[in-house]
Amino acid sequence: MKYLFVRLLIIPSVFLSLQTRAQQKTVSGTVVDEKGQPLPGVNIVVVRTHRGASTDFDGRFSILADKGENLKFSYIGYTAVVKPIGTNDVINVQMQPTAKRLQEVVMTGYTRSLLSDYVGAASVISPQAIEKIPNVSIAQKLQGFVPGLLIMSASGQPGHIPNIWIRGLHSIADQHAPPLLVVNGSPVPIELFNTLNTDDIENISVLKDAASLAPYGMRGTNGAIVITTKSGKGKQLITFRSEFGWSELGTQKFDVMNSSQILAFQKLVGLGPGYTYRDDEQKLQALRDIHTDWKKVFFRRGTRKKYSFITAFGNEKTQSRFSLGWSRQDGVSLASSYREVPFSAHIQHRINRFLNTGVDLSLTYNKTESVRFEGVTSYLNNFAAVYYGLPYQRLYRSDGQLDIGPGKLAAGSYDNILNGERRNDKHMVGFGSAHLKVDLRDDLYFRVRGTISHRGADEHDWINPNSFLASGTTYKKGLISYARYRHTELQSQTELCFDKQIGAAHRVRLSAFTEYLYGNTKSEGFTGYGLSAKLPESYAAITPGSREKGFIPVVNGGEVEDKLFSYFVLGDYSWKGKYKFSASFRRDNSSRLPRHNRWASLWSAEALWKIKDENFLSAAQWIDDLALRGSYGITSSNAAITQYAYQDTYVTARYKGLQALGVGDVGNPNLRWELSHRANIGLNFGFFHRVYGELDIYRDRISNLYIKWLLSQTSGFFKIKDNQGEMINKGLELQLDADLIRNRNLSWSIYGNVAYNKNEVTDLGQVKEFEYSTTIVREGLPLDSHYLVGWAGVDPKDGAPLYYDKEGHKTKQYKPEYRVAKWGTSIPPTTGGFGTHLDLTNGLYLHAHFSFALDYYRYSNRRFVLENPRNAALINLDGKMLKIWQKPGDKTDIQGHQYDLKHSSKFLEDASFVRFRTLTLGWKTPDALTRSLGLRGLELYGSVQNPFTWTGWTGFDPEGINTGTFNYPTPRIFSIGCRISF
Amino acid sequence: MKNQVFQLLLILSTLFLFNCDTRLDPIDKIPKNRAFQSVEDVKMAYLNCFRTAATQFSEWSSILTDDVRVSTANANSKITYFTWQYTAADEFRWYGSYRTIDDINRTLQAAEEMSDKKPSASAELKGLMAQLHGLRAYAYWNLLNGFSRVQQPQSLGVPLKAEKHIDIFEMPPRVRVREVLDFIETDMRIAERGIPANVPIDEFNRDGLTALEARMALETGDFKRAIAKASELISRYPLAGRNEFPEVWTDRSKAGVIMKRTYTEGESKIGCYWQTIDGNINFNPSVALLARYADDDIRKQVYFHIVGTEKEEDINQNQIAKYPGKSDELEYLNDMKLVRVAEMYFIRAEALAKSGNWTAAAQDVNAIRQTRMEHPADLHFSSQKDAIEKILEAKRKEMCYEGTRWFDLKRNGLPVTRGEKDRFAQGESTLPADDYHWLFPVPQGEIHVNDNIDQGDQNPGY
Repeated sequence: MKYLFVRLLIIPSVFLSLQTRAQQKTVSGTVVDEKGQPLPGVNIVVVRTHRGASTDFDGRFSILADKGENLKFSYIGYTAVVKPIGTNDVINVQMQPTAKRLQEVVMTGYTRSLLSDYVGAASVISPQAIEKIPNVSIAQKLQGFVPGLLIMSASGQPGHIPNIWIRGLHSIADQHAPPLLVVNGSPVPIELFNTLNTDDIENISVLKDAASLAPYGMRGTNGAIVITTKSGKGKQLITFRSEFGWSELGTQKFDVMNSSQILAFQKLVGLGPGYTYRDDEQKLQALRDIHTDWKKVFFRRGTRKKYSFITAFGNEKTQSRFSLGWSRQDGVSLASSYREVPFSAHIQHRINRFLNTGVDLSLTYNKTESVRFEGVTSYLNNFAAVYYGLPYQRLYRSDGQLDIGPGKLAAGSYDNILNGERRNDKHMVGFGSAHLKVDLRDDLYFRVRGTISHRGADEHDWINPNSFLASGTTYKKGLISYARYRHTELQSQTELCFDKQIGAAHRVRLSAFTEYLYGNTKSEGFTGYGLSAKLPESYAAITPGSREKGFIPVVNGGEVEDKLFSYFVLGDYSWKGKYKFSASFRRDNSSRLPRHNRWASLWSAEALWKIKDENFLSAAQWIDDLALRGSYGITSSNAAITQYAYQDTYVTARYKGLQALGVGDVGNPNLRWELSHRANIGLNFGFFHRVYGELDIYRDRISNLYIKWLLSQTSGFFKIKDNQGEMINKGLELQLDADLIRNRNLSWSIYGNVAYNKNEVTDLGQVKEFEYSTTIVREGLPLDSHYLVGWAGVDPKDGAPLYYDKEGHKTKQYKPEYRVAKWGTSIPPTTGGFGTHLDLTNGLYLHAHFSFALDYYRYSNRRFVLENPRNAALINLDGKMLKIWQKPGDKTDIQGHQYDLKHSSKFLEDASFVRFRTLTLGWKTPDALTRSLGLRGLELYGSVQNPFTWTGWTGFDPEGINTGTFNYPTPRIFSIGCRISF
Repeated sequence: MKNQVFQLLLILSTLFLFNCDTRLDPIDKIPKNRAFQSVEDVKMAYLNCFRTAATQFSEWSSILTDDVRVSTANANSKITYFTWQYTAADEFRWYGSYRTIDDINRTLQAAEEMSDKKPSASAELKGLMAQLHGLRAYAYWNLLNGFSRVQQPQSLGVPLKAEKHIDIFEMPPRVRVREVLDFIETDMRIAERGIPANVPIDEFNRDGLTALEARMALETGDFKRAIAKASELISRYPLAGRNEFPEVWTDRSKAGVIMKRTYTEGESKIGCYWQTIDGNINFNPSVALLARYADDDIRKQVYFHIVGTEKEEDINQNQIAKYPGKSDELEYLNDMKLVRVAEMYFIRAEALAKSGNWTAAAQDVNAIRQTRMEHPADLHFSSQKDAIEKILEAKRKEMCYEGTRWFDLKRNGLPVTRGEKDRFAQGESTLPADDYHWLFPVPQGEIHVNDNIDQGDQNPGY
């Protein structure tokens, strides 16, 4: 690296001499926009030459040109203007904006292009749209805006990071891998991405096909979301935003029993006090008279506060932007909160004519307090405890103490929150990137970029030695633990780029890159037991322990490394902007693969035909835009493959305090890259100056999928992993925007998008299918298809459950081989969103946004627990259990309690939903008023999120993945906020 | 121009300055070539094998038989087993057994390679190899006895995997019981010759091997051998006295213990098979079992925590206390007694009774009674049937929750019959002697993958 920088310093001085200059006259002038405001950064070229200039911050420019030559003024979002040079040395230009939709720009991190001219399949989200969604993280804001970008939040825990998929899943082994997230050209961890301040964002581009992902190669298989932040422009601007809100639980679609009901039910099934005291009416009545509402105990209204502060400044040489925020969100459940302090700095500096440099720095600190065991059936999960809670049990005894003890789950869970456990996770996530760009010539530059990203977590857990939880043996006498986790990535990239307009017609761009990445994940921690109660939450409370008495502290840690190296070339050619061709080639190398399979060779080729620019359409004024594009290429991935998985390894163990040694993993020496073969055809269109959109059809074939290869269990292993799978995602995406009314008083637009992705597993190697509890991966079906025995109701004669056998006949026998896979999948094939913007000239605006997912089914494990009569001893049950079969002739869907409850299609539900995500009403004060207040901008707004969800799912929240088990539901959030700039 | 080209070339060369070597070795795992380098490594691997192989059916044997009842506080824990509703989807240590057999095979292979390279290999290495063979015999025996009828040599046994050829892709068939028994026999002979005399109680020792032979001989009907092997151990190990007896169960005394698996903090807790760590009782001792103890029987106090046997409320609070923990701090954490000399008395008694010598059989049972009770009255047997019945009764009182009951009933063709107060409202209370659930199911996953085991090789009924 050092060597490289030394070299770079020499370059500019050499190239100074290469600049040539003719003797021409100086033409100058001012460029203004449609309102007469100066327009900085307008690109000006002397047509048929490579002389160029751009306007400064006051819209002024000057350029050397000859009489008779033409000046072309272009600026993204504005219609280009061509002016001939006459005798006059001053040329002033007013530029008119192109239709709003045609102004959208794709920023891929490597190139910048108008969306309507872009050769790949990409979508752009306007930051203005998501700015109007207060009080949630950026990933949540993006839900439903881009066709094919599916964001599913499995938890309503504040700060929760949702699953993000672009065009479906691209791996079987690594289903939850997020797409590549890029900020200003550098990959960033999702934790950081999620805390970006929307006020800082200039552009969000979602990349979906081989053409757009080619530069990202092995990291682009899951698609990419590329964010470009704003840089400072003009004089010092300070923006302050403040939001306040509160959240509450959404509508619950089921009920649990009251005291008399559950006691009667217990008697019926022969369990719990209802049965034990069946002959003791007095005792029973005393219990019936207790009515504890556990929801009031565990749930609350959570408040949310958020402040952010931005300062930006820029001139010709330097642009800077700093942003600092603070937010606090309390969840709707006790013991759930999130605090965050994000900071970012973005500085660009032009050192001289040849050297540009820039620094990006982002740092987020957050602290999460989360519900323990969320999404599992443990009573320590508040969302389970609240329904497990038996209404005839009290929270407090008559002496004012919590009524805890064996079998008192809800009170025990509450005690745990109150006195038992203190848990918090602190995260520090950051990335820093610096680049140096050397303009060797007008048409050649060299750039080197270094990025460090870091994700660190500190996890603390303390269990009070005097609590109910600590009265059991696991946590006896308390526990305190500390775990630290760090993931550091170093990346360097060098780029040499040649970009030249040759004559009026040809434009060529060629770039060569090398990229090197080193990743290191390290963790360490300890757990101490037998705490002294006098030292709460202190490590000093730990006893050293002994072999006889136990309490020996546990120490653990681990480290894995990763290396990736690649080089690649990208080439673009454009003829008159009408035909564009581009291609790429790259070679990737990863340390996760065995030596002989380490390299992957990838390529892509794509083309765009701008039909609108053809002469035969020049007369069709009603066509604003029409372009056809196609791409094909291959991307690779090693994300699913774990480090060192190609070799046999041994691990240490212990027996009676002595070192022991055993097989850790058996390796597969034949591992290879997973490859995605992507084809895409797309159409961009705009008609009648009103309707704009894109239509895409794609097919991604993912081969060499890393899947399990089942072994005979007599080998001592269930499976190894091998590249034997193949899967196809095909789909259709449509995005439509329409300006319904656009006049002096108001503009009203609607938008909508829908994506259909058909996922099909086409090859599983050795087997045709493999099962995961209630789901199956089977050739010919989409991933995660439900695999269940069909439920056929209850026999009124004896209350026995009925199932469907293989032939579809009703049977009383439950056999695993009766399972079928006709129940759909838990990954929604059809998704999308729609909404409307209404803007009045007096500054009032309204934005409503909806998202939906269709043909999507989930298995309700919550029902399996709350509808199992055998659980009546310890927990409360679903109210519908009162309709349980009791005597011959009873017609019901609840089987008699003497029969074992089995997983069947009974508990599968249609989780398709349409969610009213956001309604925002706001007011941007008119300019005159703002100025009279001495401000540069003032905006006030109020919003409600998730006011309604239409769904057949009876669980907490239809959004989520597969099995629903007492998850944290997405809350309803009410917010008010204001933004002040001065 | 020349200058320009030179500069360009220089820049291009910088593109490739970065290190493109991506070779990495694991940091926290031991690559195969570093795993076995010395006898010490074999010893460590052997300890791991013992750790995983040394187990018994304490939990299943109690839940599948008449030694426990379901408490009202049981929220559907192991009810499938208690009511014999298990299917091929339920796991009965098939995988677990082969996991440990594979560990043994890999260690044996490495040890043999080491010994081949240096024929004068150390005595320690030879000893370890003998113990590994013994352990493998132990693992195969436990597996076979669960999945097959060991009394029928021509019936289906279990697949065999040995150290000669370790191939994870192999798909071995179920071979006949006879073949598995022969395999075990061969391992035992190697073990017998090589296990050193000084192996501690909590590793695979000679006497543990002898006990295994006694068990096998009784199960397979070789009563002479059972009597000989049991006698060998009885003569050398005195029964725990009344004073020591409670200490045996807190692991302070090892009186009468022949081989055990030590458990240390952080490992699973045997006491928690029947109750949760937080004191929620899933299974109570069966009322029928409690009723069999006289009040002067020390085992009644040591094995149980009895609240009452009359009122339902009390019965639901009775607890199995045979594994109370090594100390207050280590509640429910105990060593697993793999072999106790008391069991040898019952093995010998049953073998004697089945050879027609009831009187000698009664002496063995009475020997136990005399050490456990303050005022024991001697038992007398009136017939072979009576002898077997009384021996099993006495054995159950001594050996409950130590994994023998299920096999005692199975071997003698007896049903499981639960008492009035031990019945579970929502399921069967009797497992007839001819029910198919007496043989555990081969896991569905094995049949699915293994080309040489199909549904026809499954145990009948599943």
